[in-house]
Amino acid sequence: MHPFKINRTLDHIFNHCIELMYQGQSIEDCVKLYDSKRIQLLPLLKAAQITIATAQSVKPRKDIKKITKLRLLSTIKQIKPVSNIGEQLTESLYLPIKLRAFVKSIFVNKKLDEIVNHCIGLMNQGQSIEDCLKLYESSKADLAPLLEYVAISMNAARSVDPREPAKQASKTRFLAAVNKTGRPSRFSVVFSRNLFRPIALPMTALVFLSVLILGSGSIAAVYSDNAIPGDNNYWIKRARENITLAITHSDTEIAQTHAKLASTRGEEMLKLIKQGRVAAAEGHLDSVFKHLSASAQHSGVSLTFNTVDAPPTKISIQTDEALGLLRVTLQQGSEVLSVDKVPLSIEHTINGSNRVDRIRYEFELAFRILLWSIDNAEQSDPFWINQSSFSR
Amino acid sequence: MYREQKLTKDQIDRYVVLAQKGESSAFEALYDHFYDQIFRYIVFKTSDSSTAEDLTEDVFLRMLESIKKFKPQGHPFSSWLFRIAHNRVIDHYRKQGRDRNVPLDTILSTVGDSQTTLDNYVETKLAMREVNQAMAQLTELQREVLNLRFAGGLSIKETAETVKRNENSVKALQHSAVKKLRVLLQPNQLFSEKLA
Repeated sequence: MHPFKINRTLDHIFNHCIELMYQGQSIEDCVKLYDSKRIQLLPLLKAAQITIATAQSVKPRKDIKKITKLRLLSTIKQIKPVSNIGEQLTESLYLPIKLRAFVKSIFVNKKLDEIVNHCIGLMNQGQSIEDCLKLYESSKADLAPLLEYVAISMNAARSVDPREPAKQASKTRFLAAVNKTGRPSRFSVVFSRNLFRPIALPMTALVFLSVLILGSGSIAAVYSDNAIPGDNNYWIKRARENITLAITHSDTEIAQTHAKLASTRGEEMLKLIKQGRVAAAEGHLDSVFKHLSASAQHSGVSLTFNTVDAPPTKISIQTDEALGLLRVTLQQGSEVLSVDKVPLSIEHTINGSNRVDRIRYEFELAFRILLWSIDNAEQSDPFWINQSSFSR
Repeated sequence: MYREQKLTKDQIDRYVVLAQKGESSAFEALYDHFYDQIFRYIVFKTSDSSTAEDLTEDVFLRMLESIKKFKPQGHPFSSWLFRIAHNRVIDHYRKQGRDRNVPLDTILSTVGDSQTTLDNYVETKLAMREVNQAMAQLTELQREVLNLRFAGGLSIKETAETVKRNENSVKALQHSAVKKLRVLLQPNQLFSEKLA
């Protein structure tokens, strides 16, 4: 079953004997059954017998309770030095149902949990059960069965490996995201150096002034960033987007830009929904689909249900980094209107909550279809056969 | 034998500081070190390897987003990362809105490359099934502690930080969980269950 071989007989024998003793058998009856273990078994069973007999003789009277407690404590101390079990003892005496478990438990060293923990730590570091048992020879009988099941569980938990291609693809996307967002600011590096501190203030002022002068021409553009359909300056925003698309040449960048614009449309739709303009948001979905279709086209992905005329295509984006960036953009875009991630209060959706939900699901689904198609572009199975993938 | 000996605690701390400054190689090192551990932790919770792959990736993207907010000050980075993983799994279940009892077939199909021989493969599959069934009978906290210790390979201190309990409490939970597992996994127990 597993690579660890241990001796657990004494533990099992002890348990068996306790059971026999409860059924009226004597210690000698049991020892005869396991003669080879007589030396180890006899003292344990005698101690158990004393404890069982004492416990069963006690009646629930306060004076007896105290005397029994003292008697038991002294008995147990003679067998094995165990401290601080007085309360446990007296409580257990009056709970016959727990008696059997209690009798067994008092033979377990109180520090066993510490030992088990130490052994799990060692096993985590690559040591075997035997290595640990050597350290705790005296607790071997109690420890070995526990560690055996630790090993079984640990083996089971560690036997699952991630698929290497998935791991590598995930790493690529992660590193693309790191390069996009985790890059240190050059300004912060420059200003953090003591050498540049004396000139930091004048430089800041200079940069600030430059930004002010250069940026004054595009104040309207910046102002239009938050515009939504119906605003006076919304056309400025769309015009800027068109200019950006016009001056972008590589397919990779165009695909990325369209993906971002689809996400921007989603942000606008969210604002429209919050204003109660559900129909306007609904109409905006078409723009989202157009942007995502364009993104798919420039990525080289063919979105179609016609498997004969348009078999699955290979993605045309060449570098992993670019593909990772596109994927991250689409992933983030899919969450802009996500029902689960963007809560809307009742007043925002009271006018047609079903319609709002449908808009949000369609929006998210469009992103997820493209994401899924990109991830599976090179697979032989067309995406519509694996419908279950959408429900992940 | 078990835990991948890759980065020491000091090395992890240094990489975390570098990652907070935006050093991509530090992110890569942390990714390489923690990926398998996080994956196993999640796959043991979700019983579905493809979901676990997605969620593991998401955990690292969330780490990227919020690593600047991480303040070491005595708190292990691993605990912080596993906390993200824990929350991500909860989000996932909330989103799914369904029962956690997922068929084991998917997880069993992901027994890794380390199980080379057929005998080992079959034995591991059986062991996993039994362990999963037994684990389901532990308390939520016991299961979490064992998962972090066995699948995640965390230390007691790291586990304690992750589950927001003190170390003694985690030790006690671990001990009681192992004892319960022992009872649940005993051959006669399994046999009688199978007969039933």
